[in-house]
Amino acid sequence: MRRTTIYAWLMLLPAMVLLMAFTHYPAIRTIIASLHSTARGHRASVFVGLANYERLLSDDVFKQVLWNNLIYGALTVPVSIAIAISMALLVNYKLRGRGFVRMAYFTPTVLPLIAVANIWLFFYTPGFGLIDQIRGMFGLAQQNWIGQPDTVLYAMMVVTVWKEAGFFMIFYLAALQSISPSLYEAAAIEGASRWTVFRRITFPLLMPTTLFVSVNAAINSFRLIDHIFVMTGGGPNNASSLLLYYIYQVAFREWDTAYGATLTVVLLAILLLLAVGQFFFFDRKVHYK
Amino acid sequence: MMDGVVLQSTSKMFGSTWAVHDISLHIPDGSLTVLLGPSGCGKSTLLRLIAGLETPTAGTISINGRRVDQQPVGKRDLSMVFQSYALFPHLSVADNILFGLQVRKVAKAEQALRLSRVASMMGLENLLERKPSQLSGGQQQRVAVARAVISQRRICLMDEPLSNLDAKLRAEMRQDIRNLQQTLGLTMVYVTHDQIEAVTMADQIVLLNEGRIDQIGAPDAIYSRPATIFAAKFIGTPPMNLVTSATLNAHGETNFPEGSVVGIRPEDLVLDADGPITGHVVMVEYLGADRLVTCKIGVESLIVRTPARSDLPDEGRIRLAYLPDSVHLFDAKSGQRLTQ
Ligand SMILES: Nc1ncnc2c1ncn2[C@@H]1O[C@H](COP(=O)(O)OP(=O)(O)OP(=O)(O)O)[C@@H](O)[C@H]1O
Ligand SMILES: [Mg+2]
Repeated sequence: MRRTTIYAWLMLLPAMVLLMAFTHYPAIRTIIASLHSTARGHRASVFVGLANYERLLSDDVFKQVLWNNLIYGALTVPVSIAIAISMALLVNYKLRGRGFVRMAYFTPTVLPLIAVANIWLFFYTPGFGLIDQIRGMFGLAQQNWIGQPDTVLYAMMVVTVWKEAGFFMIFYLAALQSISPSLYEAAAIEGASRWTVFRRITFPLLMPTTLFVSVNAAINSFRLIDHIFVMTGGGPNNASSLLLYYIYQVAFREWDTAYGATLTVVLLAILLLLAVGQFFFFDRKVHYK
Repeated sequence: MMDGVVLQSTSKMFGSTWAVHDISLHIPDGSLTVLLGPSGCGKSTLLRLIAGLETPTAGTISINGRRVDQQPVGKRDLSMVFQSYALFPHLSVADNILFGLQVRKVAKAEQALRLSRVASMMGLENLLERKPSQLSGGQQQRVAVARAVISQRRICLMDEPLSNLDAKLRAEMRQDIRNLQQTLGLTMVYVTHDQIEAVTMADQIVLLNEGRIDQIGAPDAIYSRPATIFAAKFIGTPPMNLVTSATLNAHGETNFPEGSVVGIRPEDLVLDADGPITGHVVMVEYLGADRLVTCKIGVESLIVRTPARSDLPDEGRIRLAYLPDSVHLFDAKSGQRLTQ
């Protein structure tokens, strides 16, 4: 008994060491750093308690990026899920050339986000970008989509949705293919319309996938910011800045490492909340097996 | 115009093989027709053609005089029990049963009334809140039957609805379904590979073999006059004895036509010291009231059903007699019944 316990711990050791060294230890260091001041020149770092967190509360940029991030998540998550489900239903349908369509939908996922950002940079270019050229055909005026504060965040969301929907589609496709065709036949015998079948059968049976995808999408909305770097640098006037991008600016542009650590703790707390939420809340409600 | 379901030269091809071939059939209104046959003979395919889940490669299907073979599934106004049950895994038993009524927006009170009736009939009262995954195979099957029955549609298709029940429950459900069909006057098409089920329930049996109709008829008609060797073998337990005329003529004072196969049911044979056929006993199987005696006749054998009380001659040579008019003659090559 004791020997097997020791054996078990030994087996776990390599993974635990790695996890602690590269995940737990840095996280704890970050929390400690957030309770100290940033060392500057001859002034050493000192313990300041919650002073950095007080600064958060009066930091308008922080409030703005947090708000940006919430809108960004609240829109990109459901929209990419809706598009992913629609694409999966379409591809799953006995459609001619569906292998090709499937590939086409999946392509954005394979591309690195940096490359995607460059493509979209071209789409959005005022005057001769793809979008303005199409608008031009209808006699519409030029628009600088990523140069104006009230459109830039939405322009970034479009890029995200474009990038992610294809990836999520793959999960939905797998889930759809595991639904027994006889369920649809049984519903058809009862005379259920397509919409009823979707609402009462397909969508509920996709729920576990939707949960998985939405948590991933929510986490990604805090995590994936490559396109912000390439396309806007958070501008104009922080209108497209997200939490992680702001952390990068504070910590590595302004070298205010203590405040950067404080923002990071906030980000960690949000991600933790999402994970815990999934674990305790959804997991129970969603499963029907 | 004919009431009920009519199939005319209906065929279905999958790839390059005929799953169902040239079936012409009348299923009378208010009757119970059993599609019977071995695994893979096309029973489910035929049922799915009637349901509209498959479209025929050739031929027509009409219901109450109206062509339906190009109509979508939902328009045919029939209910169906699937071989795989096809229960919705995320819905409770009650919602599974009520699905069709909900889809058709039947009034709530009416739904509740019908649900309680059907649930008590199927013995599902205590399971209504469960999910299908929390039920045994037999319980799931009963939910599937309940879902079909509650729709009160005139035509009901059932694909092996009792295959997963134990013997006792199966016998009970058999009667329940038959009673239901008769009291509601349903037109029922019932698929099974179990000939006992077929014989006990059917008004009409359609015996299928490799996608074709072998014989259609009432159970007693098929039992007493099987049209082919296949039908003779398929219906009856133990099956009809089938031996070549050559063997019988060589080991008895009989004179059956050459090139024929002689069929005699075990209950039509008697041990009789003066009988025309000679053989010897090789095995005795005790069944309670009866006893099955296997007798070797040359290289072939005959099974005789005798009352268990009667004495058996000591192991060794015996003679057998058969009741007059109980002999079925088939052509050895074509397997078809020879006229008599
Ligand atoms: N969708 C399909 N595609 C190709 N072949 C099929 C398909 N469905 C059935 N078949 C073939 O058609 C034949 C008849 O199948 P069917 O399911 O009707 O048999 P069955 O009599 O119901 O058998 P069982 O008693 O095993 O259910 C089989 O040879 C089967 O392999
Ligand atoms: Mg079948």
